Amino acid sequence: MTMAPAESWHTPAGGGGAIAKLLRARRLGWWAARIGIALARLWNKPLRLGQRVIVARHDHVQEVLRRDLDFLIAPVNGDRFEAIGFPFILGKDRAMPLAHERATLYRALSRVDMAPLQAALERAITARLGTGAHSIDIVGDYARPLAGSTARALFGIAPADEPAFLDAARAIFAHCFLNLAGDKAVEARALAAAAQLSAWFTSEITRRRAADALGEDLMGQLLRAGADDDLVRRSLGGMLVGSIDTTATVVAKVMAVLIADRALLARVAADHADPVRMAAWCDEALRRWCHVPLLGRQAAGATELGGTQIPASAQLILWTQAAMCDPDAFPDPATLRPDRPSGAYLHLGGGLHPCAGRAINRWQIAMLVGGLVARGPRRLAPIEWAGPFPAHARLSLAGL
Amino acid sequence: MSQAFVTIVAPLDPAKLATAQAAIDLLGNPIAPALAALLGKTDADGGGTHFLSLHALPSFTTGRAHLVLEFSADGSEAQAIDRVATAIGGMLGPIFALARDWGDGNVAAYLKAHSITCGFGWRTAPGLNHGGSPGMSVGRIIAEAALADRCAGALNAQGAGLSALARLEAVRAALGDEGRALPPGDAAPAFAKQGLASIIPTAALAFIRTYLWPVGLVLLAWIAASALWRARHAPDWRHALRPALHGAWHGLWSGALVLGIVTALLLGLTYWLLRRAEARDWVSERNPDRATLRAIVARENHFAHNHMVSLTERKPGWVRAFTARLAFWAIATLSPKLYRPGYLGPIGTIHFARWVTVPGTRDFIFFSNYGGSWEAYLEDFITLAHIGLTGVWSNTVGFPKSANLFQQGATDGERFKRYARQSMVPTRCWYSAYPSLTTDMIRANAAVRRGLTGAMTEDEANSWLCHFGSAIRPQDTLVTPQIQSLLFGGLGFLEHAAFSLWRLPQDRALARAWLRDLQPLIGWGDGRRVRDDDRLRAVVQLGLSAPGLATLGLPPDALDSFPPAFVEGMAARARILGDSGETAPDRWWWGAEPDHVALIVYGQDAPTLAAIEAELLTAALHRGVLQSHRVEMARFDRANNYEPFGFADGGSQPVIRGTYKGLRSGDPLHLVEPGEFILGYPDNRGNLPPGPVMDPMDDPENRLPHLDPDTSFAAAGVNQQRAIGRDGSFLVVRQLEQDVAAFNSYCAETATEIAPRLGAPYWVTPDFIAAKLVGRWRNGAALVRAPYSASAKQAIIDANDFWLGAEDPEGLRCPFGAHIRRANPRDSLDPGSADQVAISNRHRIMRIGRHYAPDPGANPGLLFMCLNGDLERQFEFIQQTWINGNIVSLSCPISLKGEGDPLLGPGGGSGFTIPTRDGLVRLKPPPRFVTMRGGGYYFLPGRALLGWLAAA
Repeated sequence: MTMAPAESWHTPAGGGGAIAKLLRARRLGWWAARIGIALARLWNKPLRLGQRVIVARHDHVQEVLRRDLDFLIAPVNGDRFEAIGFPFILGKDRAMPLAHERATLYRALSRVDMAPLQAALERAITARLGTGAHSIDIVGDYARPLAGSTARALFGIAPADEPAFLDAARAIFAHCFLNLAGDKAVEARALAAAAQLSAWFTSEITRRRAADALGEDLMGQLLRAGADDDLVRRSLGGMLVGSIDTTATVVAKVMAVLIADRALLARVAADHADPVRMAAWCDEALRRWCHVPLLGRQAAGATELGGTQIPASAQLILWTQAAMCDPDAFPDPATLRPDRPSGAYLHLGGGLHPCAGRAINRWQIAMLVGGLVARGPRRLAPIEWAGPFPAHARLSLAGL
Repeated sequence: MSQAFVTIVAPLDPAKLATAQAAIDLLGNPIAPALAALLGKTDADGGGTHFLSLHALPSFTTGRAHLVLEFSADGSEAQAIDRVATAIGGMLGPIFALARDWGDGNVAAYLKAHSITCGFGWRTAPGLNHGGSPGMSVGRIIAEAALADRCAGALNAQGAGLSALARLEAVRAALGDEGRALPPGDAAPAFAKQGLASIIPTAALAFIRTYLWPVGLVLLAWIAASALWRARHAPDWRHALRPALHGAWHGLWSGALVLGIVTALLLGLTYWLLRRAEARDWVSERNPDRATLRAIVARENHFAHNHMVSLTERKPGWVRAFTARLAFWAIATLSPKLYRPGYLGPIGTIHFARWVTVPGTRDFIFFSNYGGSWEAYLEDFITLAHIGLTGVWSNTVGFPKSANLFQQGATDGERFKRYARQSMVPTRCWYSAYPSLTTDMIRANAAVRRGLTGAMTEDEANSWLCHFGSAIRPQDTLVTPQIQSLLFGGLGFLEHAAFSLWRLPQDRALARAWLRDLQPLIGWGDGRRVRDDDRLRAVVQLGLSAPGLATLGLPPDALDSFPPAFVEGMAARARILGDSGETAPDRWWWGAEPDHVALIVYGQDAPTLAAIEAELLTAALHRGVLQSHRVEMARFDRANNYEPFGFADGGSQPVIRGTYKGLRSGDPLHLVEPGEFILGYPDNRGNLPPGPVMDPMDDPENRLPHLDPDTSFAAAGVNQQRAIGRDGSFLVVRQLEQDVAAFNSYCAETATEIAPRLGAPYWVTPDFIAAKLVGRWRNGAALVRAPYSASAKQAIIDANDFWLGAEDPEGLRCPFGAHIRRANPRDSLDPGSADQVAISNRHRIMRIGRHYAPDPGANPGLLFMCLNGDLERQFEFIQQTWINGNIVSLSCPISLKGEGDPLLGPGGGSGFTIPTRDGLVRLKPPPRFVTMRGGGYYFLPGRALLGWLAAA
């Protein structure tokens, strides 16, 4: 296999097309969602524009996610997972292969002891924030490398070229989940990165099997659970690509939302030691600036949704950020409060296909944000972007 | 796939009617096998002809006759006609050649030219189509039926002891590639019943669009005319604009006003005319022609479904032309919003049906391919859908009298059936693509296919199994094999028992292995065969404390979702329970430090019990599990079940609806809903109480039940929260030592003391005092029914249906402070009130304890055990509010200040009050008779959770 140089999948700064611009616009996204849900409630049903249907009301979005036999995911991103060589459960529709792979992955996940990972993250947070420095790049020097460390420990690969490892995951994620416009450059970077990532996994799996030391991490648990090498590689790859930049993006966006509202920040800071409340605050802050404001599905056949006739093969655009502004599901949606029902959030998908790493995301993001708010954040410099992802965001701190 | 309802009507010379009927008869009902084979061919995409019938019918209203071919098929109308013409065009040609306008012999072209469309707007003849299996092609229906048959065969070959998911997997394996690779198929069309708030505006708009558009046209014309009239004097268009707009505005409001009034008057006039016509309508008294009836009956019941054709005459006049359309419009508009797809109103047995008005006539024909017998079909309509039926057919001559178009009519069932039979003609040629299938079977087969490919969890697999000869379980129906047997009674048929507590090793694998050792010994379900291996005639019931659940690996979040009372444990709740002083947890013999597992072992005799206990100890030794405490119960004698103070015990128990006991006892005083004791079922108020849950990620094998199961397989339940409490219950255990000597001595002393105070009719003896303290005589007879002496009449002894409040509102018979009145006041707080009984029943507990065998020289006692759905609402409430509280009757002004429960209380206090007509008699403060020696809270898991906990 020809190895592409690391530079080939490095996401360039700026640019990235309309989707990337939308993801980078905090206020625009929030107000568009508020106006969008107001119009959607007025219209009272999903808006059909030829073969595209925009779904914004929370109950309609939930219905689409729930009716996974009517609204398919494989035609949306299954081909992309397939093309990069990591056909993963998030790109498969309901059938026996999905059931088998999901059971294997979840079984392995449930057997991984997360406590050492959490302890390591706690130590790393203390080390990064305990230097007495009055500012930190919360993406480049904090959330991204720490999420990368967790990912390496969890998934079991530790390539020497750490930046390349992080960028490979980013390139694949950008194509699989955010490249709705089908940008060829994004696709090319993803293909190259996927080949490298696959080589890393294959090499490590081979090494472990040869040494008869499967390990206690997720790779080891998958091998123990009876997964073949291909399933191990695909499952780990699918999990990994969503684990690092999702975390870094969420941390940056949550902090930006909090810094913009000092009263809110004070309330969140008071809860920094409570992981459940912190996770809930992060969910709330993300409503104002979603890391993934849209999801896609395709209609399997002609059907009906909320009074709108959906033709076969129609593309459904689920506007999750607008749905999370729907007063029916989020009363007084402009107010952030951490006691809303957790099942209403759509940040990590839903129905048959919620994010497989959601449990890890929850504690990791809460710990990372909790660490920052505990240290008196004061000002966040404008975020520098690499496509749709934050690359750098310098936060000034009051100190310990 | 779309479906076409094709109706072909061709003009026929009445003189050729008999010839045509004879020719059609030759095709057959059921249609000749050779023709059935031709019609049964399907397209590559499964499209085919579902049903077809052919008729030669006279016209009521024109004196002419018609050839009518109606069929229901997949695809567009053109595709459907071409398919039929290709298949049996050669047979249809000679028959349609009898028509007056038969052309060049091209059957398909002729059929297309004579296809009619009906509807409910002004421009179409009145009519309506209904399909019972929308979107399902012939090929799919037949293939799914064959698949379901193969699944049933594979299931029938399986043995016992498999989980539902294992059975489903085995079927998939048996079917090989077909079971694994088959796509799930389209889900059933989405349906959510709509409320009136959403139906009324939509229906109003639809009505305006359908019927009032001419009014809109008139209004537009009026607006235009008004604008032109105002602008008529303007010299040019620039000067005309302002007056024209003025005129248009004037025309709009004046026209709307006038037309609104006119429309309202017209509608009012229509209604008045309708009511007048209904008053004058005559009802056909004619019996069906016997020869015709014989011909009809001879053609019925060859298949799982039948065909009927009814030929009637619409009443003359424009009012009925409108109301017939209105009835169809109402059905077409409202039925899809109120009833599931494929259902005509609440009736789901019709494959395909249609009402047709032959254009240019008032001939009104109804065709239906319905499941089951004609009698059942008509009874369904009369009972369930008479409103719609009356709305349509009340527009025809001879129909039973109706009112307001939709009322009465078909509710007169016998007249309606006679009318229906009399209007029917024999179906001379009829084809069905799937003669052995009813609509229910078709739906079940589709669900089987979806479940075969889409079911991923144990819950979904259970729902899937229901489609084979059973039905989806209603929410309140107990899944008895999932529930430990204690929930169904005290296992009294096993007379020997022992209670033991165990500490698990910290090594989770060992702890789980021990649980696996135990699994085959645990008894499940109602009845007497509660274990697969019945040789031992012994069973184990298992409870887990909160620390036990944690040790076995229940995730912390899941444990936190259990009620706080359970998680904290009994010792931490001592203040609420009144366990203080001598009975404080630090004085308990056991339970102050919670153990992990509680086992109650039952055996039919002492050697059997010993054998199973030995087996348990051996397994425990193997797995590093320690027995920390053991209490052996006294032999249980159902016929002579007396507790140590000498009272008959176990007489008053709640009965769970749905159990064998519930079927035998319907006494509303004691009948409670399953959710009062078993988690995951509705409670007495009809609510599904919240229970403990687990994240689906912690259940990768999908063993645990869903929080909100979807039985249609339309939505995957695999990522739903798991209801880990389902089929479980909370067990309270308290070892209560009883000081029999002190009790007897107190009764004797106080009897002597108060005897002079109470004259006739009282007969004050120690037994009388004991009865007043307890509320029953020692033989079990209740004081409210036998106030002065223990009755020997068995009926009184057995009676447990007494109302304490209504029968003894003053407490003169059973004192307010008596033990049974405190433990279950029934209607005491509001005499005679069923609501009060319902409130009291929210606090019932199911007692399953037994007396224990004391050590030599020690006091006997009771190992009190009870089951609860909600520890705080049930056991703790009783203990805190009723047993230890002071207020037991709102009507008792002096209350019971300073008194406690005479049996279970701590002793001392102000004494015990016996109300009499001559004022109160207060007994001296009783000493403590019962001492709490140890206890704990345990969770009796359902089978699914136990399986999850025991999994390697």
